[in-house]
Amino acid sequence: MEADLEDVFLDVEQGFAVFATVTGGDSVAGFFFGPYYRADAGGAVGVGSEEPVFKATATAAAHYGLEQGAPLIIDGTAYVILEPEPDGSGLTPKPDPAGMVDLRLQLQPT
Amino acid sequence: MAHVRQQIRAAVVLALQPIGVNVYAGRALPLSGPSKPPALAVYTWPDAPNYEEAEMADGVCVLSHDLTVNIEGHYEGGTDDDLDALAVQVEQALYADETLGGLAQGIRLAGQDAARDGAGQLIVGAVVMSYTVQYLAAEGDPETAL
Repeated sequence: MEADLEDVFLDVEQGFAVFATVTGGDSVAGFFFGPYYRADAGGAVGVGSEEPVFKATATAAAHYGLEQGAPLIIDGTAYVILEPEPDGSGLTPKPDPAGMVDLRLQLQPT
Repeated sequence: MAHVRQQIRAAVVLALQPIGVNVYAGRALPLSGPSKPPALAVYTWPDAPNYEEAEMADGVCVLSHDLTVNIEGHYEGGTDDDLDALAVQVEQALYADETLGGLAQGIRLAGQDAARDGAGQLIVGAVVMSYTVQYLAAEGDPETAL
């Protein structure tokens, strides 16, 4: 069952994962999502935005140096990692007991 | 006619139009989609009558009001320099006519503050520029600026 889940979730061809290109040109599989985020910089009105996150295995993040400030390219769009944080969900792909990490991203100007 | 405060709010919005960004009066909804920053939002509260300086004219009490006009400048993907550039444009636009088309006695700077939110996909910054607009109106006749 765990192997099945791993296939579904982290398989770019068959599952939900996408590739992110990291420094050096290597590709890392993970999940990419961008929930709504209302930015509040003061004042009476907020600004509608998104909070893009790339969820990768902690092992891959450590291996490819996916730390704060590291660049990532996903689907042709350039990001920089704002903050890596363990997702704490307990959903751990079988080969990676270290768990998953949410890499919070910021768009880079084009 | 409308309350003098409403007329002043509309005059401020009109004065800010040449800056070339979206300008909203009393906006409560988040700036999103077509209303995305850069944008300005104008708020006109509180409005404080000053009875100590009230004058009687032809049996009518003429009150001086200190109206707080907060103008928020919102910027996405910019820096503090962008916020300051917006603040320059706002101040220049307001002081081009301190009477706001004859509605006000004058405008005073009342302070500015700025902050940034860097948690989303782009850094969002806001500068809140406070002005005090003084206007005169007779007690019981809030639609006519004197």
